[in-house]
Amino acid sequence: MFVCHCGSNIAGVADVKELVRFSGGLPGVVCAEDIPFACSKAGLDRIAEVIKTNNLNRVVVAACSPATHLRFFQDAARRAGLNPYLVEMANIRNLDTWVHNDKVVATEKAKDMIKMAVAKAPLMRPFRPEKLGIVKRALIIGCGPAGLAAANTLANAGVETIIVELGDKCGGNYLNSFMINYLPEGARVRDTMDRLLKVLDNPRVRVYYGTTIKEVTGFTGNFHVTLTNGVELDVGTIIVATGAKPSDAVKQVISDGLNVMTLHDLVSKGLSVGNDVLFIDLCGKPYCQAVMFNAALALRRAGRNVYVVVRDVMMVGTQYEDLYREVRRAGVVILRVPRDGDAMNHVALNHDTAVIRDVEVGGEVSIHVDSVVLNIPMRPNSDEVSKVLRLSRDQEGFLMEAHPKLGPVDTMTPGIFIAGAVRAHRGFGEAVLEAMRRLPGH
Amino acid sequence: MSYRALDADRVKRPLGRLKITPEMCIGDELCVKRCPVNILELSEDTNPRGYHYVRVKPGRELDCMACGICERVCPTNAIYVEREEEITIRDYMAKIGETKALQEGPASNRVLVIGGGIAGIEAALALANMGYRVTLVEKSPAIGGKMTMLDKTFPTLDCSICIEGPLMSDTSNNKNIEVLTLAEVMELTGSPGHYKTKILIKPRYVTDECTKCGLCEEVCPVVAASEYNAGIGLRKAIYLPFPQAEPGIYAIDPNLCLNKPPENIVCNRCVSVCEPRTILFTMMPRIIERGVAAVIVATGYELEGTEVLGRYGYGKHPDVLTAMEFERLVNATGPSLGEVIKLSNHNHPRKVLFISCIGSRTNKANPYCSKVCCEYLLKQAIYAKNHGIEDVTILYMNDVRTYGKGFENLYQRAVERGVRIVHGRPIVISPVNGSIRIKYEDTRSREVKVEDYDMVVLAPTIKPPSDLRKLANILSLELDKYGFIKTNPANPVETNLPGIFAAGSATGPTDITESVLMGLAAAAQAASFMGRSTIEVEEFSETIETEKLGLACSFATAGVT
Repeated sequence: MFVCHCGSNIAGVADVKELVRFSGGLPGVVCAEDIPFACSKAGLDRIAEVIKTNNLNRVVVAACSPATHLRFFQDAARRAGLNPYLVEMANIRNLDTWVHNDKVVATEKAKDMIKMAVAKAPLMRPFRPEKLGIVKRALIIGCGPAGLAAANTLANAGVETIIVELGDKCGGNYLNSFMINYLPEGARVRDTMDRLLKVLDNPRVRVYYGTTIKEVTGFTGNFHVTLTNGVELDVGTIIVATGAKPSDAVKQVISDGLNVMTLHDLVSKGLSVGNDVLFIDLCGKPYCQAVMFNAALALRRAGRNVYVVVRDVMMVGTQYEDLYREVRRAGVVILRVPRDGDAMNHVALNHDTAVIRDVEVGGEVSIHVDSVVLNIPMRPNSDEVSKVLRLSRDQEGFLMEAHPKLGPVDTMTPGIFIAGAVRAHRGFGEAVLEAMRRLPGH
Repeated sequence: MSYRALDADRVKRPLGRLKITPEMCIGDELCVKRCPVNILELSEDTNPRGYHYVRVKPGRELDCMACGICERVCPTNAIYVEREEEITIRDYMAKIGETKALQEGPASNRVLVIGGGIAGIEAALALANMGYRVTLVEKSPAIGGKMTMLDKTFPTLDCSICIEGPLMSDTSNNKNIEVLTLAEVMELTGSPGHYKTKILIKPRYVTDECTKCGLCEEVCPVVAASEYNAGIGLRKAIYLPFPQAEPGIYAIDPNLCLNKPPENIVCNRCVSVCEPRTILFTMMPRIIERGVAAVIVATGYELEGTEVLGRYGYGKHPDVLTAMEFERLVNATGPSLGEVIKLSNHNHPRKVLFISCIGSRTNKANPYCSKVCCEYLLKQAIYAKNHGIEDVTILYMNDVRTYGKGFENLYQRAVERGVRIVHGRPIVISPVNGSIRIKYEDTRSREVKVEDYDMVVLAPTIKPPSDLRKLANILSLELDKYGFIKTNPANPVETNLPGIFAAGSATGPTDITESVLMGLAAAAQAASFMGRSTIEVEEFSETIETEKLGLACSFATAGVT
């Protein structure tokens, strides 16, 4: 029986000495001690040592969550020669000392939790690991930059890769040479895209166009997938890179006679905009704003009057600040609207006039406009895939990762990974980055 | 020049020997500018006629291709080429001492990861799990980087060390990863797949048998500011960087220790109390060599120094803190054991002001955006509220950049918790009656406001580490205009050199999520340079060990049983 201090996380609230004394008196407990940080190397070594010297047959660690830390204590047990499945944890940190402030209450609750864990321990049975074959074949859903980058990595590692793509070509929007001019990465997108597309010539890579997944059964390393074209596959891992498309929110914006278009249409089709152009940013993410400001800059340099309505300029990091400065220097007018709610709440469009509530002027600004360009947010293509693969989504429809910091491309189902714009608002480079994740164990 | 060419015995190249008469040279640089292989330069000293004369760059003598351009352009016949017989590439390589590279055969299966922060750790673990070997070089005595100092991570407010600690311990226990602390890369030669690196390991003066009992620390007489506590806590000259440090052994700071080994041993208090006899002042710096296939640079970042912070009162008033200091102040293992108190009088502050963009997005210091400050100020404002501070204000100098997934929710959460958000620029910050007087122009109401606060927290710019330039010179890496490693925007871990990758904040400010992604991506791309014949993947690729995956794999186990 071990009680962890976890610094002051546990010891700062509960009385650890009392817990050790209490657990020492429980039936079946031969040894009880406290450890400052049980999960540190010194703590784990101590646990292994005690198991060995006392020849323990069950171990209970009163510490934190078994979801994150059980495996470390199991490792320690294994090192000491004890079957790792005979280790039990009582989560007296997350479920007790993090939620209670009162020392007495927390200590009493911890005692109960320890008592339960100690009672459970004798009922535990040793398990033996079983080895299962893993299918050395990967399925990638979506053939945009993220899907292609994943395919590259897998094909280079010698893994047979199958890509399913709903459209009729690979590369997504990034093949549109008109649009590339407005991307913050510029022409380097084309180089990277050319390099990525070479993977399609690799004999290990197969692409099914006009296809997506219909049904998935099986488990990690051994998924059985049925595609909409009737093909059935056994794969070891699934990478979801279905990307995103512009949401259709634009339809709701009413305009009488005004030339309203989306940024996406502007940069991919090159529409005519007239002399006074108003950009309204509804997206608020670095990448879409960079594209918007590139478009605004191009129009301004062509001699148009360009106004941009934003809540905040989100272009973070080192790479976009130059663009922001250039935009300002070129004379693009940036109008900031309040942060509360949608930017559209603060813009009134009326014939050829736009009235904008600007926070820096502190009142309403009225300008003449010929056309309005809406920078609408992207909506992830996650409806179908989240149902088939049973993946959870956030309010905006983006697929949820296992952990926002340390497991950003993993999902709660091991063996299924997510990458690119279906996970979060992503740009080209970021999508490529995320996709460079591999099969477990590769 | 490919060192692995199969037709090196058949393909030939011309070879020339340059003859230069320094006395005749008039230093007009005509030949220097026209040399197609760029092997000529002007000397620092002058010839008898007072001209800097032309010479061959040291070590480049054999690069001459006998094209003869130099002798044709020289107005004074000071330079000419003696043409030698054409030789095969293999012979040429042998001549320039690269025979070894030709015969080396399969590429190394080891990767050099420079920097043991979260990006380096993720890269090392990913490669080790793929079956490759990793040498992880860390400058400080422990791995973990800046993430270990944070109390919580945004936007979910997870405990930072609780999620990073297990990864640190995995890294240190992984048999495929060689962790070198107090180490620096001195040299890198060779080509992708066949690099040779020299690493300097400074003495720790404590051996691996250290049991972390802490007796040495108690008797050590020298007290200094603790780096881990961002300077607001203390440590001794013999110290454990932080409780969960990996490797979990003490280290002696040779700059502070009263003993000056090897000859001057005057204090020795720690040695006398150390029961397992782990303190050895006879340890010497070592230089080790490793053959590596690829390099991942993840050296992290530094924060803006006191000069810029001083403009906002830092250093003039003890209650003006940096964000990192505040992070340590709220942390349970910090110097105040998690209590938010003023450094001046140990009282609880009642009014706290956070200021963004200290040194960022301004021509007066750093013109770029530090990316994470807007978000972590929201996080810290929530900390402050949770610690019972009534009046919490964030002063944003520029935009509020809640750019990432879930970041906007944190903004809403802060506003709901009663955090006041103002926009403006502080003009004067001066101490008045123990509190700090802030005068700022509110850019939203366009009024000049004067307010007094008990504590002010500054968000300094994220800057490239000061020794990154030195490392970049060693590796021949290109840096961007701000001093970060220059990467391809369409593939953010790719540098100017194939075989060398960059990850994390060494490429520009990044948050933890991005650092993790870059670490993983760099690992995946580095793997393509590895020697295939030596990869030990069999054990990993064909089977899935349910036991190893533990609980995380319960889904799989359920499918079987």
